[in-house]
Amino acid sequence: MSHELIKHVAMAWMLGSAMCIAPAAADERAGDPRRGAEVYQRYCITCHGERGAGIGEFAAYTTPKPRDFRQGTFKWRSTASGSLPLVSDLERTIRDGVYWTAMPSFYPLREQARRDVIAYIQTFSARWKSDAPGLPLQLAPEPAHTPESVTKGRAVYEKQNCAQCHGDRGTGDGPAAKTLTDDWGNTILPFDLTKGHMKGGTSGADLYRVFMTGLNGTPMPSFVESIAPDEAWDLVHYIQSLSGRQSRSTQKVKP
Amino acid sequence: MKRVILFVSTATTVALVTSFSVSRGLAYPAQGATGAARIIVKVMLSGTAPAPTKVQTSADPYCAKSHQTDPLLSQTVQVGADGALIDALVFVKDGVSGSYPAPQTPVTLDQKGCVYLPHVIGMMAGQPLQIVNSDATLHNIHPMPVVNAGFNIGMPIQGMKQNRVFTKPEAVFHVKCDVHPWMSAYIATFAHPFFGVSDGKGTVELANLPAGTFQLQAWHEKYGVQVQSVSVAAGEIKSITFTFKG
Repeated sequence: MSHELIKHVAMAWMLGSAMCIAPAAADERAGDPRRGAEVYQRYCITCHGERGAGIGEFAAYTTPKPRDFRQGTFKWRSTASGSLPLVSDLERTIRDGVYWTAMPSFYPLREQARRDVIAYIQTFSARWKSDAPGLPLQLAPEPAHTPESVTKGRAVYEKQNCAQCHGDRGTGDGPAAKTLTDDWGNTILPFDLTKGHMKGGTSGADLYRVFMTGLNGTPMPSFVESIAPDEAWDLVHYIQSLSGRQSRSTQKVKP
Repeated sequence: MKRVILFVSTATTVALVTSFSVSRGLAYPAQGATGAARIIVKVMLSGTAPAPTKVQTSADPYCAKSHQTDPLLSQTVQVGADGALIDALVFVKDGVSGSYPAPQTPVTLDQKGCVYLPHVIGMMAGQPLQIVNSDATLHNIHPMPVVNAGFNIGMPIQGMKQNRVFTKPEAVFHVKCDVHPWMSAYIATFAHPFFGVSDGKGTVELANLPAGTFQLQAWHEKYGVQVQSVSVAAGEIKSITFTFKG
């Protein structure tokens, strides 16, 4: 760590303390729920509904269904299985949207508006008062996306038995695929990994987070107990190879 | 000496409570009472038990192979000799108060032969649950509590173990394996140690009870709940029966 960086970290820490917030939570601040309510009523209510139950006017026309915010169950998280997401996780989902679903990207909104609406969404579930989100998953730096890494990733895919749901070729047609339901009892299909664009983001880190922390409320479990960090990147590379996509970060790596 | 202890404990309590609201009253619930009374509970099924249903395991070759000679039967209704109803959870619903320490010995939930063993678990809140995968196939352990935090962990490696804790008392909740939809277990967590799951003879013994009047509840996955009020004197041993209608 350079001296300059240490200075910045120390500054941020002091600033954080001065503002009575946890130092590491600098980007974990939710906004103002009252202003968030206005944002919600303008942009979210049509799908997520007045009370956050995921049964807005347009909900009937969407698959998958809009999130019901009352349980505090969220798919796209950096935190452990079953935990609440970080504010930054929610911010990412709102900013980027969820590809292949009706959830659009709210990139044009100001970041403050997104944080305000997060604060409002947090009023729908009592879990935000009783539970802490827990520590985020620490990602190891991504190694180069090499053919060897892809081959090793295929071995991880087999060892972890991903094919049981996602199928041998990753097309989402494994033997268990037809019987899956989400926590609300709706039928749910395993993701077709050959489609290219992932639902939870385009980067390798987004994919890494999905299988390491799981998708709460769905059959997709967390594999953090059985996949080592280096194996995780191999698996990312293998899954990316199924669609010929690489993460943005590795595209910059010079051979 | 007693006074000193009292003083110290009062001082500690006061110090700890200051940060909380005073209106909460008792900060620490008194230690729960125990005794030498026992209630021997027998759980029965009247009428004809449904014929055991075979579970189709062909979706996973490993599971199918495990049950090649010995077909897997549904765990929903299991009846022993003379109508003994197995896997009913019996517990004190009302009549005990105070806090009881949670044992630190884990309760084991095994995934073996593509089935959960045991099928029904009663445990104390705060007691560790050790989840084991004895199978050479992927199971995902997916409990769905409402009061406690749920989780969903992939267990693809044979022999894999992990410990988890449900910290709060909660009525029966479901545990599923999404990979094998026939796999199903139930867990309830209690604030006290007076509970049990009926064995092959339909028996549950609730031991170490203090004298008192207790509301006992019996829960069965298919037949629902029944409640009975039972009074025991200090050291008394009493037998009662719950009969569910088949």
